[in-house]
Amino acid sequence: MDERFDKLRLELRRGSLVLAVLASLRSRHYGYSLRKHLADAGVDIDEGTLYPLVRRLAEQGLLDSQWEQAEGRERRYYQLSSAGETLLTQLSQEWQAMQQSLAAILESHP
Amino acid sequence: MNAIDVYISAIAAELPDDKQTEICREIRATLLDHLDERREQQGRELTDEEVAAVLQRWGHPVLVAQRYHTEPALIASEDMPLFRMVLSYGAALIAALAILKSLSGLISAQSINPLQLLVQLGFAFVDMFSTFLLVAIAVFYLLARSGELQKWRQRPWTLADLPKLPQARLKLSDTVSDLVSGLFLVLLLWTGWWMSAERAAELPLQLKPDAAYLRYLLTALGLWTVLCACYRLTRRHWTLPMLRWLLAELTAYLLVVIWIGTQWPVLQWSALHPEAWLQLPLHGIERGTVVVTALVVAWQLWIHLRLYRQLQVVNQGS
Repeated sequence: MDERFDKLRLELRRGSLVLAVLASLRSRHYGYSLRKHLADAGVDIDEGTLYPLVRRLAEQGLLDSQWEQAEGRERRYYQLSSAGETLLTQLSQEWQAMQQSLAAILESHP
Repeated sequence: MNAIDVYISAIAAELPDDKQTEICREIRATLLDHLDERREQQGRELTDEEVAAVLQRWGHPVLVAQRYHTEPALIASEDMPLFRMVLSYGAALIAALAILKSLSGLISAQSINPLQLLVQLGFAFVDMFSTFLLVAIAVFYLLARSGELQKWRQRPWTLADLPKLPQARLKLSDTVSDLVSGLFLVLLLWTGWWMSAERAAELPLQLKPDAAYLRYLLTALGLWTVLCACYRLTRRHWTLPMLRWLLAELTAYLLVVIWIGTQWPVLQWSALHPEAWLQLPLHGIERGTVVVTALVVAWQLWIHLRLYRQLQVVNQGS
C-alpha cells in the first residue's frame, strides 16, 4: 500500500516540480541554494532529481546560466530566461485552472 | 587524487566526451556546497569516512551520469507495438526460410532424421534471426531519429480498418504455414532446379511419366498459395474477397486431390533406388496420403466457408 502511494505521489509531484523550479528561478540561484530555497518552501526534492532537471531546463533555453566566483569557489547561477518567463506564465495559468477543477471534483459528493 | 576527484572522474567516464567538462564542473560545485554545509553543521573538518558517506548518498557514478545525460532509448516504448509486429513478421518469414532450407537439406541427403531436422532448423533460425534483430534495431533507431516513426504513430485510421469479427483476424502462423507449404510443394516438384541432375535422379520417389502433367497443375496451385499468402502478410484481417480467393484455392486443391485419387498410382520408385524401398507398399502410402490430404483440405474448406458466411452476415448487418 505504502509503495503504491509513494509511486503515485512521485508521479503527482513530477509535473509540479518543473513549475516550482521555474517559479523559484525568478530570482538568481545556484544549485545548492535553489534546493535550500525549495526545501524552505516545503518542496523537498532529492538532489539526484533537482540538479539534472535544472540542467535540462537550461538546455531547453528556459533558464539563463552563468559561472561566477563566490566564497572562494565557482558556482553556476541560474535565472529564468525570457522564454522561461513566458512558459511560467502559461504553466501557472494551467496550474490554477487544474487546481480549481480538481478542488471541485475532490469536494463534490456523489 | 582525493575522494571527490575519484568520484567525479568515475562519473566523467560514463559521459560523452563533449559533455564531461561541463557536467563534472557543475557536479563538483554542487558537491562542494553540500560538503560545506555538512562541515558547518559539524563545526569541524569532515573525516574521510564522512566525505565518503556523502558521496555514497549522492549515488552510484553510473546512475548520476545517467541522470545528467540520458541516452535516447534504442526503441522508444511508444514504438514497441510496431517493433513487436516487425519482429513477429520477421521471425515468421525467417522460420519459413529455415524450414524450407532444412527440409530441402533433408531431401538432398535422403534422410528422414527428426533430430537432425530440428537441429538444422534451430541453427538456421537463430543465425538469420540474430542478424535480422540487429538490422531491425538499427533501422528503428535511425527512423526514430529522423522523425519517420512519429508519422507512423499518428497515422490516420477509420473504423472500417478494424475487423468486424474477432475471428476474422488473420493469424500470422496460418499465413506462414500456407507460405511454407506452397513453397515446399513447388520445391518438391522441381527438385531439378536446386539439386544436381544425378542427385535428383537418385531420389527414391518419382512421378510416373503419364502423370507428368500433375507437376504443372500442382505448381500452379502451389504458386497460387504462395501469392495469396504473401498478400495476406500485408493484411491484418480477412475480407470477403480474400476469403473467396482462399475458398477457390482450397476447392481447387480438393478437386486435384480427388482427381489424383482416381488416377493412382501417380508415383513410382526410382530405377536407381536401393532394393529395400521395394518392400514398402507404395500404393497403400499413396492412398493414405491422398485420403488424409483430402480430409485436411475439406476441413479447412469447411472452417473458412463458415467464416465467410459469418462475415457476410456481419457485413450485411452493418
